Amino acid sequence: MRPRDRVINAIERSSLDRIPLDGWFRPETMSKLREHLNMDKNEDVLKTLGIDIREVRMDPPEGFKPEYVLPAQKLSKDFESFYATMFDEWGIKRGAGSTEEYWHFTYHPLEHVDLDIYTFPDIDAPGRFERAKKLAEQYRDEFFVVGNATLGLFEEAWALRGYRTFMRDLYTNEKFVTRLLDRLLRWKMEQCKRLIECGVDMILTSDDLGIQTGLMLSPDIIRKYFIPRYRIWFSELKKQDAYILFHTDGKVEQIIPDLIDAGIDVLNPVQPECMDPVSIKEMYGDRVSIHGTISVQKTLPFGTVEDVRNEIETRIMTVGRGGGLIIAPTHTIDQHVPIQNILEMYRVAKQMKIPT
Amino acid sequence: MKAFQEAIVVDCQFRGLMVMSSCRDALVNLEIDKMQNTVRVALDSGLPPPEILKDLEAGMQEVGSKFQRGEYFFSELIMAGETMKEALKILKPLLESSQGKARGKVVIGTIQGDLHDIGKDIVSTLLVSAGFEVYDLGIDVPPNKFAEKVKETDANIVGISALLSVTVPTVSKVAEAMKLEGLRNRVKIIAGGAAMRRDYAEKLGIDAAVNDAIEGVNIIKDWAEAR
Repeated sequence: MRPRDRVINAIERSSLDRIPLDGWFRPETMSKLREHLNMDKNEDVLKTLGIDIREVRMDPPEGFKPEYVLPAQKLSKDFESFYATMFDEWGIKRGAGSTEEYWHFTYHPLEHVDLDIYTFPDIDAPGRFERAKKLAEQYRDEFFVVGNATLGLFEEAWALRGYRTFMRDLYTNEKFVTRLLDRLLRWKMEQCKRLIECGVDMILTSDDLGIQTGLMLSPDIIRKYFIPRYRIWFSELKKQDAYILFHTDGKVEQIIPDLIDAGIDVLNPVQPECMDPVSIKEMYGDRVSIHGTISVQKTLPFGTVEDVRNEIETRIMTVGRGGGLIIAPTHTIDQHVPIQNILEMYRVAKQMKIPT
Repeated sequence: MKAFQEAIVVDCQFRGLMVMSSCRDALVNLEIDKMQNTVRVALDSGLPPPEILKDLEAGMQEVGSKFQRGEYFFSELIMAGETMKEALKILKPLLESSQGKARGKVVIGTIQGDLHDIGKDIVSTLLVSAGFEVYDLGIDVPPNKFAEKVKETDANIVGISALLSVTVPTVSKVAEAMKLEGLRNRVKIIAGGAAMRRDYAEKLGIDAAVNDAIEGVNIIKDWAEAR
């Protein structure tokens, strides 16, 4: 079965030879995998692991050079965009931490500039979608292609405005929130439309609406500001026949029905520490597929190879029944995860038969 | 005359209670834009700053209970923290001159390699409002910095935030740094963060591990009581 058909059939609940697989890797992890498998290309690693999905994304415009505050000279080019402290094209500053493994937002333009005079990046600037189009065409015969359109509305809004400031806006400044989210929605819709025109099958977007133990935002706020805009956004993308993959970390059971009603087809990552994937499948499996479920908080980094095997087997035996599951780590796999655990995850998932 | 004076006293007490409960209500109802003014009205009515703080702490406890009962969500916890900060802008300078001994001294920070600060900041605000002296080291803090700050401030509690799974093991290095400096026996260490679980405490060589800000603050309060 072609990887592409495998993913489509999983989402459509048609016949499958095995559960489709996906994976997000940090550059260092990919580098370790290449070294371990004695391979030069990332593509060869993805094929060896049995990953059925390929991802493309929009680029900054031609000639755009991020303004590096601390040039990351000692890092290889692959890692530069992850670690460098820089201003991106939205004017948001990203700062690297001391271990250079993660960055965070350290400057938020809309804390300093009025929204009325703030200009969004030009979506039609030359160079944005050429690479995405070329790659999508290259992958599409064999693989299922996802267009990465992260961040979503909440995440982009707080990156622009500052987390606490935007949180305060949500409770006290409806006019501003509405104006910002409406502008972001129009921009994101255009971005996604162009990605679909490049040939992607599914749009990935993300708004982390949950924390480990519950919702990050109150359901009232989510339903007031975000769900109606998701509905507009996703219904437009459906007109172009794209599937919607929505990422939100944490415990978000309370709003899964809202997300489904807004039009998502696939929910990621359904963290097993936060929500029981079996219950989610039982409750919503006829309306939404699940992408993820393999713990990056516990099993992959700290478990044994046997723990990993058990988790994969359990997930496929329970959640995999009847389709609607794409196995993937619940977030990006970082360099501290033992290579043997990663290899075991994909080895077991590739060879397991789906229970009928 | 005496009856009149008593009536005045009762009236003042009543009005004081009313003003106090307005402070608490403003906090619980997340009236961030009104908070400073509400505190000013309470001060103008003659209420001493420590009394107002006590009332606000009760409000914070109510917010925490609402969070734990699922009536409030994380965003409301953040808003309550931000509302409390508004109150403290007015109260803090006054408290410094009138308040007695702190309930305890806490050194707090996000562990090296991790850049998350929201949870840490909530805990920090909750502790300040509960009468603790808090020394916030910020994010991405090397283990030895916690020990240095404990030495410098004579703090008796250390709070470590670690949200990323990969940074969880680094928490144990804080305990090691305390041991090296001969501080471990007089300092209680608690870690919090999404990836934390209660049973990690023993493995990490610390005294408590939680993934809930309110639970963490309650543990710290219990430690302070037990001293």
